[in-house]
Amino acid sequence: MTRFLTFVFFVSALPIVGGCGDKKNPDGTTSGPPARISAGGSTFINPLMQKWSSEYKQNKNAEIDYVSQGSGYGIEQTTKKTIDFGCTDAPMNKDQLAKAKEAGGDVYHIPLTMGAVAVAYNVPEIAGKELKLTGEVLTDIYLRDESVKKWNAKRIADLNPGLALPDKDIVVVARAEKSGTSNIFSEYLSKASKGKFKASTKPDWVQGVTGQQGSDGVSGFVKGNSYAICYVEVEFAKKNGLATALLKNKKGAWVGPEAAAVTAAAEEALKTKQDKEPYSLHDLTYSLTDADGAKSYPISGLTYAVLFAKQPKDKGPALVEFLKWATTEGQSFTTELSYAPLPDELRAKIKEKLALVTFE
Amino acid sequence: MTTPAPASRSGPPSWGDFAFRWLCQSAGMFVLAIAAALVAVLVFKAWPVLSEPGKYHLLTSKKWYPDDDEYGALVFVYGTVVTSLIAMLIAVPLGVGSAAYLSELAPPWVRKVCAFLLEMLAAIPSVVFGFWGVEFLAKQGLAPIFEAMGLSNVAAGQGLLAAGLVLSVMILPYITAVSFDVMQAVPRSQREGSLALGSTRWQTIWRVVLPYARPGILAACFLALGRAIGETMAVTMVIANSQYLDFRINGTGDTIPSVIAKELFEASGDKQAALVALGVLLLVITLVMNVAARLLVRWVGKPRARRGRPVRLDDTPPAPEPPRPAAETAAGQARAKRTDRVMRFALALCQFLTVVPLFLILGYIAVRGVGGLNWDFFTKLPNDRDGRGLKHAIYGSAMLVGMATAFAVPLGVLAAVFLAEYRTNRLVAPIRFVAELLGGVPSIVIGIFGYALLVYPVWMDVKRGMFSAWAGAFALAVMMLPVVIRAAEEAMRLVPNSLREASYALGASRRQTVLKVVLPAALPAIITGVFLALGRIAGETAPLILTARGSQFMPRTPSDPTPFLPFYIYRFASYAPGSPEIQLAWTAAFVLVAVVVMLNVGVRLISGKRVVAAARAD
Repeated sequence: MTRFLTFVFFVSALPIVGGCGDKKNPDGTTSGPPARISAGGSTFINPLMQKWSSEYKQNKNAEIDYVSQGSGYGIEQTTKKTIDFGCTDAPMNKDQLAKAKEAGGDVYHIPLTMGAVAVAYNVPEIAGKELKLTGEVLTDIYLRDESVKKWNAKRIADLNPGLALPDKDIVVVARAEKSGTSNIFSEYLSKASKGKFKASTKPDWVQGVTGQQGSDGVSGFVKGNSYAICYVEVEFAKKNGLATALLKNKKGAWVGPEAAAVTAAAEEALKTKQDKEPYSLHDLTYSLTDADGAKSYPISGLTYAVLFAKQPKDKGPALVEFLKWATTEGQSFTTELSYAPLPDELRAKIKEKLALVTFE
Repeated sequence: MTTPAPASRSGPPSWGDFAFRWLCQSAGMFVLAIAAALVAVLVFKAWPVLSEPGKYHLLTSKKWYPDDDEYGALVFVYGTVVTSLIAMLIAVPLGVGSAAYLSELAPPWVRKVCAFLLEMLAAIPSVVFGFWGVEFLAKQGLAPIFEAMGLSNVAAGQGLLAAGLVLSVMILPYITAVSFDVMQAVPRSQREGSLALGSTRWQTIWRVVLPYARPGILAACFLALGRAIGETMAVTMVIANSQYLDFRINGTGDTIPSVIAKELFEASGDKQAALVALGVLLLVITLVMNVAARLLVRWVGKPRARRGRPVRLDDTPPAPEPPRPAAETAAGQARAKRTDRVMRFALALCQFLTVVPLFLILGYIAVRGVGGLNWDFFTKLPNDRDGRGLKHAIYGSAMLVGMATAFAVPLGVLAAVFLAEYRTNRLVAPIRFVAELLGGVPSIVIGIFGYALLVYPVWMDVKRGMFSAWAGAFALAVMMLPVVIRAAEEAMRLVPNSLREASYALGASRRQTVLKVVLPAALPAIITGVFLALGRIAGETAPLILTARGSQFMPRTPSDPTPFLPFYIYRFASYAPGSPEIQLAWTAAFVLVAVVVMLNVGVRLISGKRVVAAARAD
């Protein structure tokens, strides 16, 4: 019995031991532990968010505990207040907004970064060569249309004269869970196909499309399997060495998923009145897909932080400080990770918006 | 020696006895309360959907479009049924064959070694099965086969077949172990009678042992089926996540547990209700499997009596048959002997095939995991600049398991004392029954329970939900409790009654007898059971994703979201080949399996033969 009680005491002591440990400043005095902000959601922004988390902890002594689980998670758990803020690439729709307001009052959408949804693929036969795809072709690939079942289908070959495309089935990969990336991608397909494809965070994928979990799951799958194609935030494609396709934009130009092309799309979007839901429901939300401008990348998107306008006194100030940092100094880390920094005009609006957050 | 005055003897001991009994009974009733709360919470959360079956067509529609308020889960039901059937088709013949070999043919040393290996296989965490399934079985096994068959390689070997195969490996140990026990229970006289009449070994197995053991084998199948149906992590990682009915051999799909794990915490309102309703469905199915299994096990004792009746009714022995021609008899015997040799080989092959997956898994994980094993793994965080590790997750797992143990072990042991030492109490039977059923509840259902009870409580107007170590540990404790109860009860039952009688004869009260005689005697076996339970929950993933969530930092208090090692296996498993994350996943899998294996090996070495009782509780 003594041995048993000793064992129980030992394991019970674990959390107590773990909870200790004040941080010692260089001058030897002790301050409290760094503030910890709990967050989650979009996988689109995850590489940047992890970078921010690392930098912010280093320089500001605060921990941003971000667990990427998809934009659907970001919205839902923000409403449930299990996290301090969520990230989503798809703004709250009317239902979600009503539910959130009921739970905690007004919700702010704070743009954090802009990025491209790249069409990434793994076709060994054309490694190192450019591939061009149009929105219509892409739509039919994702609808598993007979006319574009294989890589050497006529409709693809016609866009890429001289390219030795293989006689292999296209392996089509999509996201398995609710996803902001899926929302951006399907919104573009919806526009490009004139409504043939329906926009959604969880589109109705047809038979023959495989679902993988998370942006890393999607890009990881394509990396590991020849003849696969997917849509994913461009950083995931780059870090995995995947080729990305050039797309034809609204002006007819062929554009790759570069940061500059996203910036161009954003400049156009900022000039455009956002009259469609869910963008019209919030102050700082913009649709960047299929934007005007000859240099625009057609599948661009924004990731937003969603948070309640009324924040608790204990964590709220730290949260607002982080968001201020992320939308100003933090923007200097975007380009190295293939994102596009927020335009100055937008930063100014964000600053005004964050000033309206109250603490109670 | 002067007899103490009656008054002084009955005073204080009586009070202590009463308190002790009340404590044990309360522990037992707490088990009932947990089970009742589980059912109540799930039904409450699912009620919007359950109460309007005509509106949602949960089981008859294949349209799962939550954004359009359509909740047809037929696709998930189909996926669950197909993967479970595939698993059973493979695991039942192999498992029963293995059991027959071990029970009737194997030399004692082979029996011991194989029993040990099966325990190892059963101890492997499901998230590791999933990881191995997607990286090895699907990608390197099925994908080339599909390619060779000219089938479209939609998901690199992932799909219903891969999920079914992984499940079959997971349930194989259970079918084998239970079938073996049941065959061992067949009276020796039956075998000897058959052999004495000139039957071969195989004929004895086929005509005597298997028929006699059939109810028990069916029970094993029901238990295994319940487990296969409720499996979450291994399936969600290899099934390729598609939402349509796919009848092809290379078809992809999804299952009930899988969709719950992926979508529950991005869901609210009716969608959440629909997902919880699927959880209720899982709960009902697995409970039915469990009850059926237990009824069959109880029936094992009856065939004997039934078999006896025809003999009694037959007053006149049958006339002996005329002797067969010598040539026919000789030919028949020769054929029987050939069949015997073939079937002996076949049964041995079954056992071999049962054990092969263990080495495939352990070998593959060791090869892939060792490369990343370095000091950084244990001392760094995933985002550290100067190295990558999972220190926080190792610490978090230890914390969660420790807290779960601190909760489940005292409670479980007290409940077991009640079951073992107060047998005449009318609550004993229902408590034991419910504890056994609780052990069969799918982990994803316990995850829903933890989520609804502690993360985002259903009963109060809570302002802020909270993922935490408390919630995670609670979920693990609920899973651990039935194992502890059963191990402890079995251990106490093995304590000879003579020890109790001696204690009573010396004037000790029941409380004193239990605390000073029975528990110390049973302690080694109880500890064995506890360690086996630890091994089981250390690898759990599904309930923790819904309760502890995971974190990128060291947990400070139990109220924080808490990281755990299996989370990184699950999350990083799908990263790109060659990426640093997937190496972390392999190393994590290696470390996790190593811990579990060491727990099992250590338990076996320390406890020797006592492991038998505890092993049955697993």
